[in-house]
Amino acid sequence: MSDAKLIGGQKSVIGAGARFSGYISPASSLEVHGVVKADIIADTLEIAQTGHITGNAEIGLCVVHGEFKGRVNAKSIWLMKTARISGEIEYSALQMDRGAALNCHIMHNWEGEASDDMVELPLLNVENRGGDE
Amino acid sequence: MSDSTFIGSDLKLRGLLDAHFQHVVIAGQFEGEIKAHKLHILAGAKCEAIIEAKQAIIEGDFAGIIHCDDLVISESASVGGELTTDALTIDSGADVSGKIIRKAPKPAQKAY
Repeated sequence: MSDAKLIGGQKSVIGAGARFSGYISPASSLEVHGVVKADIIADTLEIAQTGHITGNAEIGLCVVHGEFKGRVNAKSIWLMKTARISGEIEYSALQMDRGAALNCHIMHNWEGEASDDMVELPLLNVENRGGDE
Repeated sequence: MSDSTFIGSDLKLRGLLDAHFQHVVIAGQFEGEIKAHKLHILAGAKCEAIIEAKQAIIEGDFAGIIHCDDLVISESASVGGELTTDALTIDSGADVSGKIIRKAPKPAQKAY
């Protein structure tokens, strides 16, 4: 990834092969390709196929290709076919692809804005299906 | 797949970042310990850390300890602490204070 591309946006990236443990401040957008042991609060979190996160997460939109261990509370969570989740998921809208592996407790967030998210999620699906993997 | 690590300007990390074979770019804030192949602290970034890297480029604020082979300190940088390096470049205008140590000093010749 070039420096220019990295600097262009506010998306933060933990690269493949990198390991981070500690504290992460609330983020707008975070992409994890490496191994992270931390609690995460972010508008958008993407866990790449090589990514592993252990901790608790409060997320707006969470896209999981990799592995998550812990508790995640997300307005929208999209579990791709390579996703591996153990722990607890609390969600307003959830989509799971065939092949995603869940070994966790799943709860719908009745208090959340589920109706809005439920409208948005199918549109997200159609737009991104072609670029899947 | 991204093999670079980028800490955005809105992000603060505190802890241990082990990215031995990676390029790490910091635009935000970091406190703790970093191991990287190449480290780039951008202008406006703040870093208080113990750093071990092959190459380091500092344009922002740094305080702490650096061990590296090649260190470049740009004119916009503010650096304080202990810098251990083989090669050092300090641009005119850079604010540098602290201790600079040659990483692999040649053995002193005996004076006879």
